[in-house]
Amino acid sequence: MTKSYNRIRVSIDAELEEIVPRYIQLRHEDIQAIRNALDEGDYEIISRLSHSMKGSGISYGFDRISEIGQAMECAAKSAEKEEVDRYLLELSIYLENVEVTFE
Amino acid sequence: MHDNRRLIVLMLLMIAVALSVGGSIIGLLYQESFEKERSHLIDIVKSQARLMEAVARFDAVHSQEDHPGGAAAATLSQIEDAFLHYEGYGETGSFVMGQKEGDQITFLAVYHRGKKLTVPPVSWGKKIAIPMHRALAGEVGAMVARDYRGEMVLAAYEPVSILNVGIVAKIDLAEVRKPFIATSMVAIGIAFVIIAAGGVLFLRIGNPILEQIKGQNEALKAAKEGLGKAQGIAHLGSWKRTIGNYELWWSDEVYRIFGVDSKQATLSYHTFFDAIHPDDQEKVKAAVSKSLANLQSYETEYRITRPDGMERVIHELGEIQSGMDGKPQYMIGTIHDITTRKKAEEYQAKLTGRLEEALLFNENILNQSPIGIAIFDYSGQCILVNPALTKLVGATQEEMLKLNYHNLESWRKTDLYEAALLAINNNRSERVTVSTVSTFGKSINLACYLAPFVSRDHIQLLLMADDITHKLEAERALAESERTVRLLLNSTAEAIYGIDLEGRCTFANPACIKMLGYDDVNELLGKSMHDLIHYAYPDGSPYPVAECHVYGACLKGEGAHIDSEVLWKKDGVSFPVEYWSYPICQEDKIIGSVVTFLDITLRREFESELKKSKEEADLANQAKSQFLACMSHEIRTPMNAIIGIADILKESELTAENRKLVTVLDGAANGLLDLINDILDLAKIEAGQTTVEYREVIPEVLIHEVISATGIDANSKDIELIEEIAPLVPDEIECDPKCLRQVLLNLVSNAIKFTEKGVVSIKVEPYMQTENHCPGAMSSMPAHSVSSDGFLHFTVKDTGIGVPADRLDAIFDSFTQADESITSNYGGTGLGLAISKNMVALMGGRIWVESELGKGSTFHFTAGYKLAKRDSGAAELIEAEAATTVELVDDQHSNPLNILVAEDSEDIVILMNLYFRDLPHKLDIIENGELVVQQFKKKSYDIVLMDMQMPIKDGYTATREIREWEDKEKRIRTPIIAVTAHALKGSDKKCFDVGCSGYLSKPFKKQDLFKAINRHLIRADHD
Repeated sequence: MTKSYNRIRVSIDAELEEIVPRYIQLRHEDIQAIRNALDEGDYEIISRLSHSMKGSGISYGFDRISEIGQAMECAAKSAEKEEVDRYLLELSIYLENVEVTFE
Repeated sequence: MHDNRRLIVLMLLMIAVALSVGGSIIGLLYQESFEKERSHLIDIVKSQARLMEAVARFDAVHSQEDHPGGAAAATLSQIEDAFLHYEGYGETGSFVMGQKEGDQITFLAVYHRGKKLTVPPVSWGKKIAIPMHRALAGEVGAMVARDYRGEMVLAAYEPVSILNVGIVAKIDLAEVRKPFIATSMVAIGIAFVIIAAGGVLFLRIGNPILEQIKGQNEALKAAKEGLGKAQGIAHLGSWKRTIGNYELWWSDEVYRIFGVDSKQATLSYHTFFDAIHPDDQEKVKAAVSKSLANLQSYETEYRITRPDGMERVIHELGEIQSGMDGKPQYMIGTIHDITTRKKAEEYQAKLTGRLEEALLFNENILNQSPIGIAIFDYSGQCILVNPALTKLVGATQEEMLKLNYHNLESWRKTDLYEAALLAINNNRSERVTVSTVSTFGKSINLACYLAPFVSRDHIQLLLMADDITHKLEAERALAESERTVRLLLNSTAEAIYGIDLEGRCTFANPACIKMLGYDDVNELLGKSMHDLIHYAYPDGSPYPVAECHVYGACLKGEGAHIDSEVLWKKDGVSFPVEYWSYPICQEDKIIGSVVTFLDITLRREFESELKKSKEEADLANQAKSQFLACMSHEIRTPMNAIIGIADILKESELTAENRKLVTVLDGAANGLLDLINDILDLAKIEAGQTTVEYREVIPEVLIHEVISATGIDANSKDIELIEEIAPLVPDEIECDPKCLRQVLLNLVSNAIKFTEKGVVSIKVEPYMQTENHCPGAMSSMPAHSVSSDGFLHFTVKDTGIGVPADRLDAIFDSFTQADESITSNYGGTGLGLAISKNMVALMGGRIWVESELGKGSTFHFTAGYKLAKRDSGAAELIEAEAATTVELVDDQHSNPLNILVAEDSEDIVILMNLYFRDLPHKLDIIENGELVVQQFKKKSYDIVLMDMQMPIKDGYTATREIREWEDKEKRIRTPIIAVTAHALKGSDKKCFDVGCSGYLSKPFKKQDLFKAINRHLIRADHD
């Protein structure tokens, strides 16, 4: 099912401008890694990655990434495939639609 | 005629030939003979002349005696004698001697056949005796001329000059000719005979043969032409090829087929082979080879490309033709241009394919059609029926094919028969609906369509029958339901009307008509309802359609529900209504709206009365509260005086009894003050005088204030006060500190009050919307009606006496305590929770309690907050330490710092590097606990940032090891700030337990990080 989302506008400290793109790219890679891990049932990896997300999101200005990280970590710890999937989807949609302005 | 001409021509030809040939031969023979005769005559003459000369000479010598006449006479007489015995020659051969005497020629002697003739002299000038003429003239020769008789003769002449005589030997030309003439005559005769015979033969035999030959030739030519034409028509040519070389012969047609000019350069096998399509060349070669190998004929097909580019398909037959020696010498055959045929075949196949397909379609249509189809021929006999019809009727196909509609009762009984006849007679289609009974006895309704058509000169009838039984039933049901709807509409007291997309009325029920003051629905139908009844606002100002809620909702396909407008009746009077409009959809498209409305005139009246009463009550309440508020000061002043004096008295010298009295006084005064305060507070809240003022609040600070305020009381009762601030609670928020503080104070005081000993903990965390925090207990007003960015969830938990379950509900009510005994044992006004409840509501939150009698109680409340504005984040105290700035470089740190960072998350590392990029401080970043400990021992650092979750060795272990080492080495402890993403309860405690100096939760913002560093550096400095 496809949903169209409005752009998610995020305002980030201009100081972080150089490192934000890379951060986002790494998160894209995380998504792929988590997908693979999900297929193989490796919740350890998912837990680790989402923990990392939780710990860094807000620092980079992406509050939502921290939230998703936290929720995904919980779900991964209980090996809840559907929950993880759901948050993964949220994360991809977030990453797809996020629009950063640096101030 | 043809024959005759031919004959004549032939004759003439033959004659000419015969004559010329014969004539030539005869001429030649005659010539020969003539010459011979001539020669003979010349010989004679010559010899005679000699003789005569000889004699004359002799005589000249010896003659005197014998001849008195002279020598000449002697000679002549001798010669005369001699000639007397001269037989001469031929019939007319004669010898003549003559003499010229004067102008006469006298003939001395003419000897003919042994006789001497006497011939009269001839005049010299006469044109006869020419030869003698000549001889006497002295000439020698031979000639054809007239002799003395005037007859043509062949004569030889010679003079005998001695004797002065001329001699002529002559023969009649006729005699010379005679044989030839005779011969000629005979020949001519024979010739004529032959010619005649020839003519006859020719007519009989020759001509026909000629005719035949001519005919054959013509036939041959015609045949050849015909063949050529036939080849041309059939596009079939013939060819011949010499085996062993490349010689090739083609008939004209083959040239044409191959598009090659027959008059052009030599034709060779290559001309032929190169024209073949590359893909077919192998095939042809193989066929020919096989044929040669097996001495068999062959047949092959191939494509050629003509010089003009056109492609043709060729069918070739070839045979081996042996020579005289029985060995294969030639290959002959035909070349047939079958392009057209091939195309025709392809086309045929295509047509056949299409036909088959069409037949298949036809069959499918007939078989699959849900509509019954049948065809009847001109006699009424059923000649085709499809499965659907057999099913409808309930008969088999065989049975139906035996039927004739003229005999069918089912037709005759219904209109079907008449319709069929009409259709056929008028040559037009007819439709008719019949009601009939199927063979199963079921009553069915069929919609029938009859159409005549002509097929092979006969009229045939097509019948299509559709079972509309269900349709009719559906129609009936629909009509039924429509009746029901109509009944509903008519009987309901609610006004209902419908409009289309243009806003025009499509229906209106009686209630609607009546309410609007009309008499008949037609006064409304088709009219724009907005313009008719909804054209103005209650105050009379125009209400444009564009702003009409019904219109707007209709367009959007939404509903509308408005109770603030009026409708206008026929008489122009308005009345207030509450109306609902709903879109009407048909197949996902909006086609209009349905509007229902109620006349709420009465309701409005009630409402305004109610409002009035409420206003009065409120005013009364407000007056009361205002009074109380005003009185607040008036009341407090004497109270403060009383309390002040009681205090002073307490300090002074008193007797034991007086002290007791003063204590009572003090207690009573304070109690009274509390009560008054609470009442006034509550009154103020209820009077609406308490409003929420949003200010920056640091939750940590606020909680500390509460703890400070209640700490003494807690200590005096052996109660431990614990605070717990969850990591994700913002450092700074905007809310009403007064309300928040008051509620917390109230709850904590209560907790302390009702607990003998144990723990009272104050916790704050972000409020999780997903959690359901109201098990059983009552909550206050609907939460979250205040706009806020987030909610905090505060929990005050105690290990006190608890609240009985049956009292939980009422606990937040005014003046209620759990138990009457509570007041006496514990004091208190009983208003605290009521005030708290109100304040929580003001903050947009909820308050509730969980409790277990004898174990303790947990009071929860939520409060809304707004996010602190960024620029107000500067310069706020976190704790009662010295003011700090975010920058690490300030007066206290003129030297660059050495910072050891233990962090395995790449993201955090990147962030840290960025933060410190423009600062002079040195960052050493290590990614696991083991290496960190090693690194720490190597260098001296000002501060350590320790990620607590690292691989190999985590932060806890690393910190512990570092602290152990520091203690062992008697070093001052370097500040270690624990950095962790875990938000578990007590995780911070864990950090402190292993020796961390501070705690920073992930994710952190730059200022959090720097503040934490500053804080702990300062502390370190201050240590």
